Amino acid sequence: MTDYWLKELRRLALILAASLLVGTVFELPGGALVIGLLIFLGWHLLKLRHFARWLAHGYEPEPGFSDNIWSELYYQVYKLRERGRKRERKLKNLVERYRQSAAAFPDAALVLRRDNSIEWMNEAAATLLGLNLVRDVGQRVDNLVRQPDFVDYLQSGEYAEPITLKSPIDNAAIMQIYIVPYGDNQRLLIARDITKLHRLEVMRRDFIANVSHELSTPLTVIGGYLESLVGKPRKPEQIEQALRQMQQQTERMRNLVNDLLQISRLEMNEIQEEETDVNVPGMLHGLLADARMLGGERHHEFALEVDESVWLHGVGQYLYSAFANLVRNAVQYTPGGGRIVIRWYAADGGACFSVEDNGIGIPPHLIPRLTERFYRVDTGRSRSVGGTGLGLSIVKHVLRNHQAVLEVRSTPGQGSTFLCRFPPSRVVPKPGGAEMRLVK
Amino acid sequence: MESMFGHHISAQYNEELEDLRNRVLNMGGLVEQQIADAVTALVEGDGERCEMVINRDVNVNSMEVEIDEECTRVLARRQPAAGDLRLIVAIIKTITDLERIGDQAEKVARIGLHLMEMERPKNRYMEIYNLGEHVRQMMHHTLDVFARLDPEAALQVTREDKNIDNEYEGVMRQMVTYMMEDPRTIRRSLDVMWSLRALERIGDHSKNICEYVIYLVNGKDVRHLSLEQMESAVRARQTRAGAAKSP
Repeated sequence: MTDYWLKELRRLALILAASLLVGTVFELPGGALVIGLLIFLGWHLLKLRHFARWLAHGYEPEPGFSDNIWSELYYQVYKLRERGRKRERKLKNLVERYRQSAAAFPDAALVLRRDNSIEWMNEAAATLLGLNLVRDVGQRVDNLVRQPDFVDYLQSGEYAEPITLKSPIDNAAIMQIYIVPYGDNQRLLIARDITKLHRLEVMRRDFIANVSHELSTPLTVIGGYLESLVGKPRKPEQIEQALRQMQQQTERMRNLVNDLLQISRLEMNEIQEEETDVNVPGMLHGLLADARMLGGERHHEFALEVDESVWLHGVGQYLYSAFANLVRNAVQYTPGGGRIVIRWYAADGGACFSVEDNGIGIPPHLIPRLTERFYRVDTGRSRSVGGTGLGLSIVKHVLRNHQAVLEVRSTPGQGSTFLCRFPPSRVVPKPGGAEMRLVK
Repeated sequence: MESMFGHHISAQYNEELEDLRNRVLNMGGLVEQQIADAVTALVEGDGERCEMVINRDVNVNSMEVEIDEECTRVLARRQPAAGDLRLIVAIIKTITDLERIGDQAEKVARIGLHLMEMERPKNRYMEIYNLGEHVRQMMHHTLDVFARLDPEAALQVTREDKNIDNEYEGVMRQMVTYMMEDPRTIRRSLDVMWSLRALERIGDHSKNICEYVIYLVNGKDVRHLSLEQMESAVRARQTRAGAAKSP
């Protein structure tokens, strides 16, 4: 028994004793006792009324604390309410956090009722499926996403496999839809944009088809010559001619395989080659000589504008193959007598390499596809000039490994400019160059 | 949407109206798919897909007949009034236009089969693809308007039809230039022009459907009105409705 109860009993005893005393004095002990008890009862009834009022008015005002059983009662109820409030707040937070995370979910999520109407959706659903976050709640989802394939899927009730659809708002986008039944006849619909994945898959398929095609063409040629040589007497000139052709084809195959190997090395980021300070100006002088030779009798007009003081930190071998590919393209796609300008200069703290030609140019909408492996703007022409279809892909990878970017500007019929921008972190001054002298 | 049709004591009646609306939208979804498939098939020279579109037109036709019958049944049995009557009338008109759109898509697919026998042009029928995509989107928006019963959006789609008409004009002029430059392309260009014409007609049918939605929601017939008149009709109705609600 706590203090409060003891006190209360003591108070009762006191009142009884006092009324008895007064009763004996006035010789009416029974009446005095009744009056005393009535006072005691009345006081408690008053307190009870206060308490009931306090509960009814939502625990207002804050109870004052004194030392009777009523304040103990107030205190206990108050504690209970505080605990309830705390739990309520916690739950509210939890629900809010859950809703926020569901709303921020990158995939579209919809909760469907039994009649296919939308009960809830997140923001991604609005953007991906072209729905209205507020107004479309309560609408039937098959009234808004109306592709026959989807409607059939929704009504079939067979949701083991997801369904792949074109996006209702963008014909070029592809999405995958899952439906998960749960709870009391409710279903969760999840839609995900798989355009990129789909494109990758197509690219991989194309790549394998292309590689096999590119490798089989020279093999067919070689096989044909071998067949014509076997078992038949031939004049030495004919044999010579056949061997030369076969040599050419093997050379082509070797180029292709080398390019493929280089790409795969670059893709796996396996730069085991030591990064050094590369003498780009020197490299470009050498490249120019090669390009003149490649141009042969077509008499291109070459110009080289090089800032001799700018060197680059990187892998010389890779940089060479990237620059060489760009220059080779310019030579091959510029008709005889055309002008090709190779530039190397410092810009915005970084460095730029550019090749400008006035050749046949590239239609603008094809530019984004240039660096795809085996992508050719004009298939017949590219093969006839001996390209492997991998050159720009190699350029892209080399540049990526050096944190550089490739910019292509082109106007069909007027020429193209390929520009590689290297970041400042890659640029180093020429050893013993102007800067060094300044320090001294 | 329950508020639109959900006020009848007979739950059966509500369901019938709701079901009709769903069927129209299902039909619309199929028609939209037909447009997309027909255009893609033509542009990619995909004969199989052309055949598929042509064969599927039967489904569109049978859907029209079914919905029509259902509408007649509701008219006879329930004798709807006011909003419900307008809904039935709008549906009967809408499915006629949807069916015609389906026919135009079928026509595009047939021309696609025809074009396959000819040499493909350098631009790979870019003009058909662009106009087709534009029209498909307009169709999509039209069906959204019908699903949401949104007269404001209906006005917007009607405005889109103007753009499609302009694009059509421009491409037509371009085709004439091609034909003058090289008379050997005339045969092919004529086919291209027919398919462009079919797509342009789809735009007009979509516009009609939007007008039926305005009729259904506002009770105002806005056919053959200029855009400005249409706008004022929709707006006037809305302000009146707003004023009635506000006190």
